[in-house]
This record gives sequence, structure tokens and C-alpha cells, in this order.
Amino acid sequence: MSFFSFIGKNLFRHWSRLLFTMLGIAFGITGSIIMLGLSEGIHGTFKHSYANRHIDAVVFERDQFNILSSRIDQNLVAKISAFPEVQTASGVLFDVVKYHKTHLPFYGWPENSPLFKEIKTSGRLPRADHNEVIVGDTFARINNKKIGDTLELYRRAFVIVGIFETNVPLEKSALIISLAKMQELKNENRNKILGINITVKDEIKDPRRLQEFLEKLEQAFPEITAQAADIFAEEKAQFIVMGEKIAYLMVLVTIVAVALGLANSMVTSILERRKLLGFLLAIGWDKKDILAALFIEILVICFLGGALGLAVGFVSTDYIFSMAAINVFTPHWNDVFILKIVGLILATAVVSFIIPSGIIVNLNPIEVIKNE
Amino acid sequence: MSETGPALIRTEAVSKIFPQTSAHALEDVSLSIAAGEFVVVRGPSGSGKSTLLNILAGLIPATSGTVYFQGVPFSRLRNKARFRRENIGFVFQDFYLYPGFTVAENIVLPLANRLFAPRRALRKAQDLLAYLGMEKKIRQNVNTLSSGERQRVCIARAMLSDPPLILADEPTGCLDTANTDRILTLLQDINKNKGAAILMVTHDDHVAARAQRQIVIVDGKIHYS
Repeated sequence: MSFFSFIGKNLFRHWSRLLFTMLGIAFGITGSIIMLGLSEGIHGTFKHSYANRHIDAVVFERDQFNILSSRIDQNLVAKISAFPEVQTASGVLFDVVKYHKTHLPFYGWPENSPLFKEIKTSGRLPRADHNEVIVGDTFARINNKKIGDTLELYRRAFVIVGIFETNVPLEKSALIISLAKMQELKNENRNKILGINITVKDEIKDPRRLQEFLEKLEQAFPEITAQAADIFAEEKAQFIVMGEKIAYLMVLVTIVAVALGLANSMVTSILERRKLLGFLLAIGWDKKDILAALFIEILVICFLGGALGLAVGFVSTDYIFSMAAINVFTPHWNDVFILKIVGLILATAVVSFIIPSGIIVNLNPIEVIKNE
Repeated sequence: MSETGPALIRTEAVSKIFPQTSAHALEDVSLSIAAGEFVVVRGPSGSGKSTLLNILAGLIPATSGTVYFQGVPFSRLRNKARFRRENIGFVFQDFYLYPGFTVAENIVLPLANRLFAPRRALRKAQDLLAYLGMEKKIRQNVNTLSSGERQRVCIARAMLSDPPLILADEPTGCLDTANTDRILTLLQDINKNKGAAILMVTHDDHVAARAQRQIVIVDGKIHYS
């Protein structure tokens, strides 16, 4: 019998206790993933929506916090494009439309917009003089739509002429029509747009140089506010950031509760085996051998429970996102997120190891030799 | 003292005072046990028998005096756990068998703190069980064994590393007469044929009579040796 088979034997001695302890950890990790997944997913969706599109700055009407109420002249697009610092500038209109039970982002892009180059469209692009729309692949999949189908928007039938793939989460369930058509739908003045997305040349991307350029724009056009895209996104996501902090706090409380539950289970297990462990010390085991066995037992329980929690957590969070009223947010799974969860599992193991390890450190082998 | 050969383990003026009581649990105890000797320690409850056993095993230090094992003072032993693993076999009244483990797993327990189980340990366990007449029970759960069989497994476990010294604390305390006789015969056989010295604590005169020599302790002092 090796060290690991000794540990395995101990672990599975009370399989029902092992199972319930594991389930407790799995529920804790599932809860943590849902809380972190939702908050980071929503925050990440906002945060990366501009960076993924290579947009460096956003221009909108001065002193407007809500971007939907911003209105600026469409002529500004050409004027801003003329600045030597600018790579591309694209005017946009944006709205949120109700489709069945969900709400979807709805964009109006000029037919020659460089933004179209950033998405991979199967089919073709929408034309200004036709009721045509292209839809995000997530929208098409969820609603079982294909090219040639129709959608009712603003009480008009629009033909789906393309389905696009995008790396911007906000656009995965979006609908895009031509800017002119959207101005017509919303009864907007032909010259009015909501904002301008700017991509600057490489040499201007440094934050200090970008800021200088944006100040130059604001001086040239007093009716606008020009903001770095990351700052703009973060400002709009203030409430989300607050929610994210609350989620972190709840995860911390959950993990401490799970760790204490596991510690309680391990203390019970150690106290049950106290005399046997003392006997092992008497026959030549070191305390560090027993501490190592205990820590490995805890790690195995944590990682078995954690793996189950990870799987259930991912599936649950994906499901919750798919049920969201505004179907634009996506879970923000990446290596860092997985590492955070592994870190949580390890933290649970370490916290729950501290209390029972104290019992082992204070274990006196002569307790088992004297006849009680 | 009347040991029969060179000392395997020896104490020189060993005393033990527990801080909780301030009384002498052992006082000026000098004794010697030769290799291959079978010695019984007798005495009333609280006389210091178990304390003596603990000190000889290196589980607790003496307050004063010195213990020598094969001529080496305990103070020079760097790793007492390793010393016990390699030189001392323990047999207790309460068995201390791991419930749910098989007979073989319990026998190799002293070496189960190694990452890879030595193959020779399992072979040795098989040999020991054959010697004890329990070879058919090697894969049996210890929970299913009788008291006599459990104590034989404990003896096999104590002999795993062929220790020169076996310390037995009331090994027959919870056995019936037939099993007591069987265990004592086994210990005598091990002493005679395997050459291990045995130091056994007992209350029982009949058990004590099976040893080559008796040490009687009263109030922490050797009364008779």
C-alpha cells in the first residue's frame, strides 16, 4: 500500500460523507461561477465592445450621459476624417428594439462604413433604399433565422440579407441596417447621427497623444464631447462595476462558508481517527506525513467538488445569459477566469486545512499508548 | 539486573516527572534488556510501567538519566520516528487496526507513508501471515476478524521491519484464555526463532510467568528485577 492508496482508502471509507462534502463544495463553486460569470460577463461585454472593434475614441453630443439621447451632425464625420491623426471615422445610429420577449441592439451604419470590414458577413450588406437587415449569428441561431427570412421592425417587414459573425459580444445578437434607412425609420433628420466611432493612426494610440488629439477635436467642435473608448465604456458601466464588486464580496463569503463546512467535516474525520493517527506517529510516521495526507485528502475533495461545480456553473451561467431580457451579454470565459476559479478552489482547500491541521500538530502519540 | 547478553536497550538512572503532577512517574530507573531477551514489566496501576515503555520507545523524553539503544544514547538520534520505524515493533491491547482496510494493508501500514509501496513489504506481509497461520485472510477486511486474529495481525505489523525490539503493552488484555495462550506462544516463538527481544507490560501473573525475566515497578521505582 502506497501513500496515495492509503489516502484513497481513507477518503472512500465514508463515501456518503465524501459525496455530501463534495456536493457542498460543488454548490459553492457553482454559485461563485454564476456570480462572477454574470458580473464579469456583463462588465467584459461593455469593456471589450470598443477594443474588439479597434475603436479608440467616441464622439457624441456635449454633456449627454445617455448616448441614446445624443444627436450630432453627420457632416462631422467627414470633418473629423480629415484630421491627419484619424485612420477611420464612422457615424452610427443606435437603438434597442423589442423582438418577441427579448430586447436587441439595433444599429444603423453608413453603407461605406469601415465597421462592416470588422464583421464577417455571409450573404450581402443591407442597402439604403430597401428594407434589408443583417443579423448576428447568435440571434439567427436562437431565433432559427436564415438568409431570405423576414423580420418585423418598426411595423415594417425587413428581409434578412446576411448573417454576420463578430468578436464584439454586444453585436452577436444585434441587427444592422443602413444608416439612411434607420434615420428614415426613426424620423430623424437625415443629417443627424447619434455618435462617431474613431480609429486613430498607430502613432496616436498612446494614451497621452490620444488625449491631446481628443482635446484638439473638442476645441475645433465645441458641440461635441470626445472621449477615449475605454474611458467611455467604463463610465457607462459604473453600475455594472459596483455590481461586480458586490459579486466579489458574495463569492468571498460563499467560499469562507464552504471552507468552514469542509473544515468541520475534516475535523470530524480527524477526531474519529485521532487514536489511529497517534498510533501512526508511534510506529514511525512523521507529523508532516499525516499533514500531507490530510492536505491531499482536502485537495482531492475540493477538486472533485470544484470540477463538478465548474461544469454546472458554466452551464448555468450560459443558460442565465441566454434567458436575459437584453440578449446581448455573453459569459466572459477565458484563461484568467478559469485561473480565478482554480484559485478559489485552492483557497477553499487551504482555509479548510488550517483548523484540522492544528489538531494533528498537537497530537501526542503517547495518548494512544496509555490505557484509557 | 540479570540480563543474558550484550544490552540492546539500557537505561541509566532515568527519572520522569510530569509537569502536571510534579510527582516522580519514574525515579532513578536503571535496567538493561539484552538482544533476544523476553522480559515482562509488572506492577500495579499507575506504577510507571507505561511511562517506562514510552521512554524506551523514544515517545517521551526522560527528565533525567540516559537511554541507550545498541550503545547509542537517545540524545544522539536525529530522527526518532525513523528510529522507531526501523527498530521497534509495537503491540497494544487495543489493536489500533485501520477499520475498512484489509489485513495486508494494516500490516504494511508502518511503510505506507512512502510514495511508492515497497514490493518487499507485501511479500513480507504474506510471509508473516503464513508464519501466523493466517495466509488465507490476507485480503480480508480486519473488521471481520476475531479478537485473537486481530492481535495476530498486530503482531505481524510489529514484525514488518524485523525490529530487534518488540514493545507489547498488555497485548492479551482483551483476549480470552485460549487466545491469550496462543498469542503468548506466538510471542515466545518470535522471541526464540526470530531473535527479537520482547518487553511486555502485563498485570497477569500467568502471562508474566511465560517470560524469561520479570521487572516489577512500584511507585516509579524498580522493586525487583
